Amino acid sequence: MIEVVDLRKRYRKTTAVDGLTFTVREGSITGFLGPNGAGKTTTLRILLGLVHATSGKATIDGHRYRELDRPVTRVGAVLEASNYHPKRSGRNHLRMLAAAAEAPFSRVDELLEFVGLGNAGGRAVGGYSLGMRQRLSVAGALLGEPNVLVLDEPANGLDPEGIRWLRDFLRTFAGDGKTVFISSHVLGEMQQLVDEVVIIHHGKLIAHGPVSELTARAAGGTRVRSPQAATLRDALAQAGFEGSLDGDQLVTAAPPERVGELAAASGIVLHELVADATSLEEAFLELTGGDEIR
Amino acid sequence: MSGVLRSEWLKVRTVRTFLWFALGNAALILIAAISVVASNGQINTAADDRSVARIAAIALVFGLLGGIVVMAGEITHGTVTQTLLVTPVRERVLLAKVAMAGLTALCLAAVAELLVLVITVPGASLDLHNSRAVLLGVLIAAPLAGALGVGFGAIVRNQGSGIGISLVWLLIGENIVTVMSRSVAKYTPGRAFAALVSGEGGSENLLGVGAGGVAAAVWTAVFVAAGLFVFLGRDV
Repeated sequence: MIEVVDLRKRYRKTTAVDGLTFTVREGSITGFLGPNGAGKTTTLRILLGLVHATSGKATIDGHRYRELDRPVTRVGAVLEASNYHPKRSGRNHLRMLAAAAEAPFSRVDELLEFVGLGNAGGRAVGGYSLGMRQRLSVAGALLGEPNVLVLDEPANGLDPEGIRWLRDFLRTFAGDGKTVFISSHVLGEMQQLVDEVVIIHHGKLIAHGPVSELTARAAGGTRVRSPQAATLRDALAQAGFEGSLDGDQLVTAAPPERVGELAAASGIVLHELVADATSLEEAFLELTGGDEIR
Repeated sequence: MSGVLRSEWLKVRTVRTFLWFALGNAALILIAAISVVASNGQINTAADDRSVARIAAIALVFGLLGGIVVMAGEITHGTVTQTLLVTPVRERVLLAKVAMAGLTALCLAAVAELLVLVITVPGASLDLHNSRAVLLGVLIAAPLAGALGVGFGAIVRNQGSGIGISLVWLLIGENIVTVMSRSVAKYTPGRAFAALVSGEGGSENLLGVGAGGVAAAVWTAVFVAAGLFVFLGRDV
């Protein structure tokens, strides 16, 4: 489990992360969203021991990253795609990591094949496309066969085929009961992929929960279909909720739970009761006040 | 620790920078040694023997630059991020780099001495007995220079700047200090290493071999400690 508790990071005049607290539960795919400069990358880098927190803590299975024994066997990380020596081959880059991780070199060739770089492993990374570098990063993250993956904008530079490959891979990975914590600005992609989201803005947590809950909360209403829609509207009005009627359909600002309770109490038959969900992107924009996504 | 060292060895082996350093080192040694043979043909005094043997000290400069590249090169290219993801204990990473830079510098020094001996013993009658203190000094100084380079590289973080600053210091900075105060200049890093490889007692301009060795070791320890302090404290 990833746990972030009252995390703060202050640069001279800027507060990048401001009292952030959340958990990422085991076996879930959790999206990490926020506008440009919200503090996502800083948070992930603190979690991975690359940036020092001003206060608070970020732990994986109860330990700071630095304290983990052979961390690559617990956590795999994909950060920016530019962290390569341009003259070193992809295979040698992975071998260099494998040596430090005390993983066998045979694992390197397996992973190159797995990420689709089997034929390009001997080429210098300087000649790789951004998408190929991202695949190489994924291979590096999987060297130690970890149970947790932390990814910072992994879809950057990937073509549609690459994005689909990444989505399928992450689903398979999480399907084995493993944990994925992923930041991305491709919200449509995230909505299809993640179970939960953590949304931050100006370094602070503004929302955390299942995608369905957040989108419903952002839409803030319930849609009902009932042969007694008019009666239900009256019952809702008595309870203080407004509703608009359209034939047998009623849309109200009341939460679904309350609508169901009122309908049951009044003996009203319901044919449909759904949270009036919106897209993750709309929910995100509403929560962050429409700031640019990245 | 062995895995981290092996990884550092792969980093050195899988890019051409160190091959160029080895070739540059060998080329300069060859030019200097062949010049001695071509100009004199004979070495007459023990001081001449030591002077010719000191050609091998060129390897110290390449060892120093190698150390800077081992550390600052990783930061410049950003590969230090992935290094720290695999080995998050930064002290361990820096110590492995110190060991690898020291070993690389030692190899450069050994090759340099071999080239000097192969050319000047038959070509200019270099006396091994007279030059042994110099040759031993170079073998001791080279790993120290490599380690110092790692410490300096951790402080400057940019390999281009690191190489530039160190060369400007050695070629110009130390001479300015000498003009200002000869007694102080004897203790500067370059002069300390020069004393260690001099094979001679102290003079107005240089410490003796022993004192030079101590000063070189102190400078190395200071730079490695400062580099570690910076490396531990900085965000990556």
